[in-house]
Amino acid sequence: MSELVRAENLKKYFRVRGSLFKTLKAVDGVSFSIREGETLGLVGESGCGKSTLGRVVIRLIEPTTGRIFFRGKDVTSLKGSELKGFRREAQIVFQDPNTSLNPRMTILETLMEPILEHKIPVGDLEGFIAEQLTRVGLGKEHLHRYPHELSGGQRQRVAILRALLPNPSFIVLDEPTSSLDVSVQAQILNILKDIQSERKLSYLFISHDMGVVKYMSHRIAVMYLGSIVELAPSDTLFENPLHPYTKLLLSAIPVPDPKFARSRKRLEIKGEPPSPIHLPPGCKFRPRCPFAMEKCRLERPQLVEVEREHYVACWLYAKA
Amino acid sequence: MNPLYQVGSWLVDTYAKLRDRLSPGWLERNRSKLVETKLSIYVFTSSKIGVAGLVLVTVTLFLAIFGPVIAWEPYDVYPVLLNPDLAGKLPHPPCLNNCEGLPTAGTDHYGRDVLCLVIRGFRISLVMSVIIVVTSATIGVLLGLISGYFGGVVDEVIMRFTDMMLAFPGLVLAIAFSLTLRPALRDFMMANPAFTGAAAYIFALNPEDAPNLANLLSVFLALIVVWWPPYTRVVRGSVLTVKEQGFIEAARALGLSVRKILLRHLLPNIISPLLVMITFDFATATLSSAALSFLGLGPQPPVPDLGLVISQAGQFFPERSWWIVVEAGIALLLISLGWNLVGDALRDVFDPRTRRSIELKAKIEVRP
Amino acid sequence: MSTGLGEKQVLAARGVTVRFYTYAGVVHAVTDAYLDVFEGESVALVGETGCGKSVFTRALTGLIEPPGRVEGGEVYFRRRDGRVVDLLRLPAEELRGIRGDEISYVFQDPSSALDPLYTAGDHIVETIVEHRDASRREAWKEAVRLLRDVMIPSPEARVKNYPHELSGGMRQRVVIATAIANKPRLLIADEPTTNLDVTVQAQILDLLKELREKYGMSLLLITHNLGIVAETADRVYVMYGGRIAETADVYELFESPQHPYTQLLLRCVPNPLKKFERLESIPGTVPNLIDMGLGCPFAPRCPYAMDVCHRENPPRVELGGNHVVHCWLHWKR
Repeated sequence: MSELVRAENLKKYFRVRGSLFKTLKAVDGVSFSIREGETLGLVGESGCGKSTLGRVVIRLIEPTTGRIFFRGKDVTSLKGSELKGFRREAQIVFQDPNTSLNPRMTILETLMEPILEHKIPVGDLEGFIAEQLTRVGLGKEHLHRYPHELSGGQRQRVAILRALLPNPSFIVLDEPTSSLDVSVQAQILNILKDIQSERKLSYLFISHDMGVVKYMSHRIAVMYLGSIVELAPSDTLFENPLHPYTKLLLSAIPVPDPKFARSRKRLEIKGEPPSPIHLPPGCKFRPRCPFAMEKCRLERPQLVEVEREHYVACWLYAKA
Repeated sequence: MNPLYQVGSWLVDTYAKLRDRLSPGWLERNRSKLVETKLSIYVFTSSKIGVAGLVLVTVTLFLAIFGPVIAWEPYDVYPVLLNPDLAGKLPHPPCLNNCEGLPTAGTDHYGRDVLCLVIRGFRISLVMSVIIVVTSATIGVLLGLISGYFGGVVDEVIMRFTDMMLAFPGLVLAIAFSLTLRPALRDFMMANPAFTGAAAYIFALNPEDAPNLANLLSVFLALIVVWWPPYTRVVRGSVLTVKEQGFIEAARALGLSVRKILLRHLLPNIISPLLVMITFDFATATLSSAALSFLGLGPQPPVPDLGLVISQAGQFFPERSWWIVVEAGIALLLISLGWNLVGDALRDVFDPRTRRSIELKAKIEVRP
Repeated sequence: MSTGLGEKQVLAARGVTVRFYTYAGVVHAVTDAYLDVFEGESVALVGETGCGKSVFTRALTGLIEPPGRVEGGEVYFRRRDGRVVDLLRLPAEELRGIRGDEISYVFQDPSSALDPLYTAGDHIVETIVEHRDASRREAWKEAVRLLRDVMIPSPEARVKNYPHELSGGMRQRVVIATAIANKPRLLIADEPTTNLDVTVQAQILDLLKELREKYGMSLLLITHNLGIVAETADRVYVMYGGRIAETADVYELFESPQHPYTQLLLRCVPNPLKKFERLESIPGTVPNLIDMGLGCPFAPRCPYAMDVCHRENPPRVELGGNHVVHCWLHWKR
């Protein structure tokens, strides 16, 4: 499988209102790559910058610095029709199905837009869309309805179809099932997986739900305060988490197995995630880390490969 | 189901049947839209004040369109000049019994039938208010869309300019503009008879009276200049709210151009408060242009502008011209009241919460 | 099912039915629901959107407003002084005395539960002074102590903070402090951690467990997250379509669920410890509570549905050892 998307040292800094000097470092030097047909999961808690990163990678938000490569080509500064070509290939599905569809447009009108906009050659537009609807579990009776006549799960399916219609090769999924019921979530996740194997799509799957991320992803990146602290294949991450924050996360997630849940010992969690404006010096996780050393205050660790395909940013593992 | 809704519903159904016959399958495709339209009609007709307002507005529109046709006296003929002995009796109060051939509704000091003048006045009033509001709204919406969507420097510049315009007292600014525009307009109209003729036709006035037409135009040009800032403010506010919604971001992710995002996604979603504002504004514009005419800044006699008519009656007020003020005043009252009531009902029609709760009660359907 | 209260029992709800009379029709939000809570235990009420769990728990203390109406059932509650009362039939005054004092609520969104114009301390003091004979001075001291109990660092300073000065996790702790201020017998928590980060969620759940032990209070936890259920509950009730579908001890429920809905639900949830090839999903959507037919609410989506399931609502079947299921599959003639 060849590399499809590569992010190099992406940074997105926001200037804090009312202050000339304070910046909110939402994304603070992130690099990763995604291969064709692969899903990279992105997990982290609120304020870690995963949603911002998802948008920066497809240039919905412009990066402050850093570069984005798509199929080997630098797309960071594309404009005009070249940018539009990139947009066709790189799509996004948003978290909230209630606001991601234009309430004044029928489903048909919403779905016609990507086809017409990117001039996808389709014969009978309405017939084509009606047929595509069945791929996501909807029917042609939904074509002429308004979003408010559909349930949350149905709306999200429409949003997914909208992202699929331009025939992209890469989709950013930003918490696509977080606001849905568990049973509906399962349906949507399966649809996403089926489509991925059918069309060899690559996904960047952003979520705070570790169970869902593990189900969907081949590799997982853990983010904390704008940086990736660990990156590994899914099974490896869960079997052998290295970064203290990853260990913390894994011990905190509720597991639907009472025997296991009662028997495991949870890692003591100190404090709360600090604000991305006032970052501590050195390693950003140091104030909460049970294994913090003196070095952690002085220098920020970089992401290094500790074993095959397993990267960690932590002084516990870096060979100095 | 109230009878007015049934009429409206029948109209929608008939229209749907016709369209369906012309292009089969049209009904199915547009069923949701038809249901929404019927719901709007239902919500509107459920409100008694809305219906009352609708009646008034219908009368206003009817008189505005057909007034000059049904008016039985020309406005630019002064009976007192044709018949000098009338002079002492004018202005003549209304009389119900036969009063020497003078009109029942009373006359003004030139001997013209007041009721006739008022009926003609509807046309001028309506055209003025429509042009003022529509033009200002268009300018305001454009600026508001750009300002709200782009933000940053563009937003600052547009908003500061708008603030500046808002800071001036409206009527005073309108007076100033009207006075300065008048001579220029007069010259322009003298030099362009085609334009003058068109304007005269719209206002149902005599095309040869170019200076008076220029006065008329100067009033409403002046009003437009001060009328657009509130629209910019309101539209910008709505844009700021809607801009954050997911589907706008989705449109950008799709690669849509800014123009398409503004017109196809943003505008339809902010149009509801805009329509309500426009409706209320028709009332305000009617009264404002009448006020300017009253002050003498508008057209001069013989143009049957309602504000002018009232102002001219001033010298004989109250014993010798009360009927003129009453008749013209009631006309203005009815026009603005009608728009206000309709605007009120429209607000309910567009408010999503009242709409949905009424929708559940009504169970609107569209049958094939 | 006994109708009285056992000795160590705090709450017993029987046959509770709640209907909402709306323009669209009658919404059968809750039908024949029941619940038992014993001293010191943690009970979970699980279900997806529209299953009726939130309405049911609000009905327990008379928090249902028109157009909703509680149309049947009893809710027996043993008060601190030992008396047993039926909450649904109490006069409003007495019910208000119980709320905030002997039964407390913690809701989902801490930001809307706290009044932005009042400090953390104000909230706690208000509830103390309302239900107890304490001076404001004593109440403030107690407030600081409570904030320390809920693990808020530097409580003396925090007690004077306004909600906007506190993070989401801290706000929820303040809400919990307010709820336990009067040492309630029963704490009802409705999705208390849904809006919080995973690490904060873990802290709050651990906190609730500690407080339960320290104060000897019972916990009724409403959630749709089966992971949380596994971690914190002793017994579980599963609701669907406004009715109780199944109830059992937590180990039993996860190991051998008997109701088809519970079985499918458990298979929908990705367990990060297991290696999944495929998540199962439940076809169809949750029922619209307005057009409720006569049969089992799950029948339209149930893979094992029989004729009788569509016709008649299944009876209650006791499977022994606290395990009860409402399903025709288990009905032996």
